[in-house]
Amino acid sequence: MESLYHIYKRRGYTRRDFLTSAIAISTALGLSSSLLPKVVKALEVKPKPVVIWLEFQDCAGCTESFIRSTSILPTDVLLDYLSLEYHETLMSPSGFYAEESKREAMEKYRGKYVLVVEGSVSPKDKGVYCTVAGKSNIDLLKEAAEGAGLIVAVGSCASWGGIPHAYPNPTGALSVSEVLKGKQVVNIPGCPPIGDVMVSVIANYVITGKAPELDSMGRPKTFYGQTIHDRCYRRPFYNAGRFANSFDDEVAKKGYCLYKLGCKGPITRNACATIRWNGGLSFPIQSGHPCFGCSEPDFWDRGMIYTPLSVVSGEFGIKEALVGVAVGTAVGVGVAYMNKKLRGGK
Amino acid sequence: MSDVAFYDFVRGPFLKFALFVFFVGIAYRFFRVIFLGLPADYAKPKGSPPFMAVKKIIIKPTMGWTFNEIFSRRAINFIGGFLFHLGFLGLTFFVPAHALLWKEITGIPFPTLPNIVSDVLAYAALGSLIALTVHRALNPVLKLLTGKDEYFANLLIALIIFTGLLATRWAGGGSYIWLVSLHLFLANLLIIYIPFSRLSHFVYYFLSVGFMGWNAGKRGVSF
Amino acid sequence: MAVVLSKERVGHEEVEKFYQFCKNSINTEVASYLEACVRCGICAEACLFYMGENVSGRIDPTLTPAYKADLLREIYKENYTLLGRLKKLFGFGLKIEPEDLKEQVRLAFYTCTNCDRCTKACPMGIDTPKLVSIVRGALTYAGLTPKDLADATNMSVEKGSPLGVDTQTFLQRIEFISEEYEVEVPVDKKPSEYLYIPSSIELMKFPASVASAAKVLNRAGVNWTVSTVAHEATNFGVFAQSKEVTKEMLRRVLEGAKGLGVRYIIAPECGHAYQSMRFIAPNVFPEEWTFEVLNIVEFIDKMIKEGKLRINKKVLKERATLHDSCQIGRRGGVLREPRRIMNMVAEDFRDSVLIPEHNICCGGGGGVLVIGDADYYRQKAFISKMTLFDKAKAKTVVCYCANCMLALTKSSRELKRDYRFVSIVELVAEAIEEE
Repeated sequence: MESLYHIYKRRGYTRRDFLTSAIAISTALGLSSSLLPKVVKALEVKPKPVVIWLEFQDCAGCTESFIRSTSILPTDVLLDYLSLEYHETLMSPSGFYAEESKREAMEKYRGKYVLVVEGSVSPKDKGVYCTVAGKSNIDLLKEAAEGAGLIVAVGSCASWGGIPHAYPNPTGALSVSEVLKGKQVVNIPGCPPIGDVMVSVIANYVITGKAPELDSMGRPKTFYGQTIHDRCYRRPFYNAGRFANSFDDEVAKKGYCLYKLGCKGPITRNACATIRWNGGLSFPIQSGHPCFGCSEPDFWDRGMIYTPLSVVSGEFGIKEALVGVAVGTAVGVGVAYMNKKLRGGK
Repeated sequence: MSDVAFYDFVRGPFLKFALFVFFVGIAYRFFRVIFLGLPADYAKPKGSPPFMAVKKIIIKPTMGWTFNEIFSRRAINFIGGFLFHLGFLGLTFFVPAHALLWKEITGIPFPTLPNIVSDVLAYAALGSLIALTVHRALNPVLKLLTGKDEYFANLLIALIIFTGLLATRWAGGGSYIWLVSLHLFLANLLIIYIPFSRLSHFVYYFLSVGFMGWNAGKRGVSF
Repeated sequence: MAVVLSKERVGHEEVEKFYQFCKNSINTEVASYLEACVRCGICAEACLFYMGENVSGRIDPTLTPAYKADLLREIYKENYTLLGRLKKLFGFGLKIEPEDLKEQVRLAFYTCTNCDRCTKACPMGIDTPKLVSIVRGALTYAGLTPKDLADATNMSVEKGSPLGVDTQTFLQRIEFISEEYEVEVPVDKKPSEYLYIPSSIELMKFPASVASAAKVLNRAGVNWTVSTVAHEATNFGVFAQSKEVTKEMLRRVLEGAKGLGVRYIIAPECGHAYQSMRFIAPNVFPEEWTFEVLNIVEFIDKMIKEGKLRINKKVLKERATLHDSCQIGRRGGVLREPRRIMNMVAEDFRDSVLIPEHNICCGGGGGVLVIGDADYYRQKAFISKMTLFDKAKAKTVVCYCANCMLALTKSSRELKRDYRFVSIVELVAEAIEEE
């Protein structure tokens, strides 16, 4: 099996290009610069990872994001490097040949392959709402997870249940970690997640042989350790109290903070503000749209995409306040009269 | 519970409950006193009672500053009290996040303060609160008058200002979510606590000072 | 006849009566004051009794005005508020011991003159005198009025005045003053426009004041008289807060005034006389009390304005300052008038306060002077009063209340100080004498 360096050489890239990618991977993973020689050595020597990519209740958006990851590895190298032994969207064989290919890969690389899961899992009614080749998604997942060296749940659907999990959740959608209780699952949430993040996590597995450091919810700390708010380039405007009042108004064009328009940046953990999308081109806030927290659990049910973060969710307007005042007044007047009666009149 | 789930809880059902209890409680306390009745007063007033009542309500906070004999002994009460109230009221109504919340509740768009001003107000309020609480614990008159109610309220408010500062100024690495949730949680506790404690004095201010002004008008004095 | 008791033994019956009275005295105004206290303690710095102790190095925090109302506050909370009621229900209610009532007597009768200074200082505008009056009323209702005050009150109901001046003695004194000071004093003259009612303190202790008042009234040329029925201006029912005694004393004034068909009543140099006749009487007799009540100083000011009196010489040569009677000044609105008069009769008048409402009480009002057990507190209070005299660097102090003069003179003598206290009406009488 080829290593990354071999692929680069075969594709006609220079060693310098290879080293640039190695440094990019190192930086993205937050590894210290003293580890760089080790990283380079690993990428030169170790064979490319075998990836089995399962899709369940998904939209294939995570895949789309993944193949557009260009900052770390060029696309042709990427697709060569990550040997996608099974990917319903991207692989060429179909039907039984595809299933056969998967079974072979799972046997041959047992204990070493990376299992990537996209989309939420539905165990309801014996798993009948999502089947492939007659098998329910639960069985497929459990079977693939047994021999996996690393299990990665990409996207908010696989990490938390995502869109299918939103009310009323007719299929009883669950996250991968809820189904695979007890196994270590790396969650890479986002709708979709940033492609470079997915690539870096797999590269880390190649370099170190294990998952990167995870937080209490299974997310890699280097990418999900900070909120958008912590790194947003519009933060000085937030600090100065300068907010855009509506989309594309005078001040929004000047780059004012989008808090009033409902930005959920302060409570959203992701790397959008630093790594950004499409090779660092832009991210929602930069394009003028507030973040709606797509990498957090239950973001769809939380809703309130265009209402500010500090407002009561579930509405508390002047009507409710007046109702409260009316109730208090009624009780107060009643008690006062009772007190007057008990006092016995003056 | 994940940090965002906790945040959703304190900002959603808990905040709604707290605000409801607040409005019910404040209205209850106000009307429970008003409808107790007042005996008629047949003495002819020397001045104008309604005018003095309104005037006193507006200028009472400044009157202590002209009472030199007392101001010189209790400057800390006046200066600290002023700074604290100014700071805490400015923060409650004019910090951007809070202004948006008040806009939702009352429909009036409140103006917002830049962070540097909020910082100054927060430090002033926190500093005065701590100084006043220490003074309260040491002064013999205040020691006699103070009960658990006052210390608890002071502690709660100090924590709220402190966590607010922490969340906006000192948080990083995603700890903002926990800190702001803590801030919201404590604020909800305070909102629920207000109608049950002496903190509802802002309602009684109008009644008590109104009556005092009325009496002053009746007697024909101006101070 | 209404009688005020002063029991020696305090038992549970007294506690019960005290409790009931407090409970029944709550109305909107009182409730607002009780709820509004934010425990800032600024009232202590305004109270002359607290300041007096403070100045001599001791601090007695129980003299804080807010603390005086605290038992009443607890009774209110227990009966009118949700949390208070719950507490009582679960057995954590108030337990008032007989000793607590004795402490209340000290707080309400010995160390409070109802001077209203704490009200002015309070950031929430709480009228502590009103609350202390309720406590006094409750103690009287339970029969725990201090003995000296009770005796004086009973005397005033029985004989007609706290010093025992009945109608006969009154006539004798009036005759004496008339002769001694060579001034005409019409008695029971009908019809009259103005009724002047002296207080027995003036009559017995400062007869020159009464003579001066008579001189002034004669010179002003008004149709005035004194009455043998309404011959006592003081009202000890107000001190003891006994409704029956207050009503009885006022009834006598009403009877006398009605009998003479007067339009104006002139209250003498006596603090609570003005309070009771101007502000309390219209509420005791809403229909019948149709008189216009003026304090003698107010009257003099009015006469000067109308040109009926002319003061054209300054009779007070040395540096003098003014002492404001609380019940006439801060609680009666008569503050500018005495200052105008002072500027006319005194050569070197130095006001001891920037704002007249800030002046300090004499320490003897509200019956405190009468009560022997309160002497210590009254003397200590005088020390804080002295600071104002010394601030104005004056040894002569002009007063417009006989009780103040008596209290200040007594305290000054007891503390071996050399202040001189003069009545303003006497000064006026002197100033208009020669013409």
